[in-house]
Amino acid sequence: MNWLRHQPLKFLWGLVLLTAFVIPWAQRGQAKSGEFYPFSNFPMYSTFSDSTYYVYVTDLKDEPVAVTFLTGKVLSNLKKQYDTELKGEKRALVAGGVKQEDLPMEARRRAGEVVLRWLVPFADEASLKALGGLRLKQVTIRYGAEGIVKETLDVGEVRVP
Amino acid sequence: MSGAKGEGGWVAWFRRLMAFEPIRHTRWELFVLRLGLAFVAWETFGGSSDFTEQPHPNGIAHWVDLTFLSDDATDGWLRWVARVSLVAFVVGVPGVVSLLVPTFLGIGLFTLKNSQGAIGHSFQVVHLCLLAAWLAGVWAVVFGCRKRGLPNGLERGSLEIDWARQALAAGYVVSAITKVIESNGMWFRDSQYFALHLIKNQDMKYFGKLEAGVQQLEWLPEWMMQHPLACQVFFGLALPLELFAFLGCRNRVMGLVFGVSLIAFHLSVKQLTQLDFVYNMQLLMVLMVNPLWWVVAIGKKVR
Repeated sequence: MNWLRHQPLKFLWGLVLLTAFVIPWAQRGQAKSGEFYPFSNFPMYSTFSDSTYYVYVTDLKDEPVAVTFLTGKVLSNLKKQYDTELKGEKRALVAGGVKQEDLPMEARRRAGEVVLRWLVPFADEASLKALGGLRLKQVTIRYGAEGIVKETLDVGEVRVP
Repeated sequence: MSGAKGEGGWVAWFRRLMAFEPIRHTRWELFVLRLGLAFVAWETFGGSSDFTEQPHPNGIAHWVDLTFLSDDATDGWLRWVARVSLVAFVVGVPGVVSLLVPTFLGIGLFTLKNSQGAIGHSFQVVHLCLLAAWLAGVWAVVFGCRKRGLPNGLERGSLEIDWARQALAAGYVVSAITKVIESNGMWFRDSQYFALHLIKNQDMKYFGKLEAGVQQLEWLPEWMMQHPLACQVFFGLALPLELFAFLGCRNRVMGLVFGVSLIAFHLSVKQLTQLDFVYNMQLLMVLMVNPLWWVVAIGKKVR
């Protein structure tokens, strides 16, 4: 205990203990167990695998839409939201022991449509009306024998009247 | 003989370098550091909140409905109170009072934003440092009431800055620990796959605004996959830099070393990934590098 009393950076180590161990343990079972704003265990780029993915938005003719100018939102946030929804779908299917990357297309579409429905109210009304609706595309990037390959899937669509 | 003496010299030099020396700030230096911290925090009170739901509650949003912060009238005047409070902080009003609104309004606004399903980390470090400085202010009041000296013999103003600095360094240490835990210790081995994230970030940046010129360094991911050792060496430097960031709080020299190294690390990551940790870099510059103090110290030596 005497050793602890003489530690000059007690506040720092207390914060490390709280954010790296206590919060992730207390919130275990949640999709983002290490996140309790402003505390975070900073999980980004903590693991790497031979595949990853991103999302982007198109119109109903599959032409890409500059979503940041249309809605003020950035794609990285849409990707994180889509990921959160996928985790929810995965939890719902946990009895089947499905991996997130193996989720069926229906589950992906449900997740994608939640994200698009959330996005629509932030869009410029006139521009969105002109587009008629939005689609969400998921692009999976893999590294294999043939090098780096990309695969695109339609994972959601919303139409506006 | 001389070898042994030399070794002793190195050990003594290393001990001096690592020695803990509480960083005491003079009045002018405190003014500059508070100005720097307030400048970074000011950025977080721009714009307006437009979230009317919290579908994926984060932090205190599990218990508190924060959507009232998106009400234009409430949001507008609270942001002004926060800005005035930051000015009060700069001119020396104790943090326990002057940081109360900026800290908790900032936490509230960004908790609401992070309760939409996507967790952003850009401003997290700013509010963590503000919270740390405010807690130091509370600590100073508690110790004052009990007529006890503050930790490490610091004055209130220096303690507020010291805890903000410790919070900044703690974030890096935690980030390194998470990398080790989440990857089951395989972070070095798997870091070659970082190349796939480069493609992901470049493509997302492009598709977000459909602006040409974003997709630079297109050759790099394929090259990284073919040269995994190069990736492992680059990222091999990053992990210990984060893990040992706490050393930057031991004295001014270590603060300078870790501050400059971490800024260089952020700049190189920005070049590779298009991810900009601008507030981390600003806080490192203010709280760890503290360049004005070094200019004055070197100026005094030269004279």
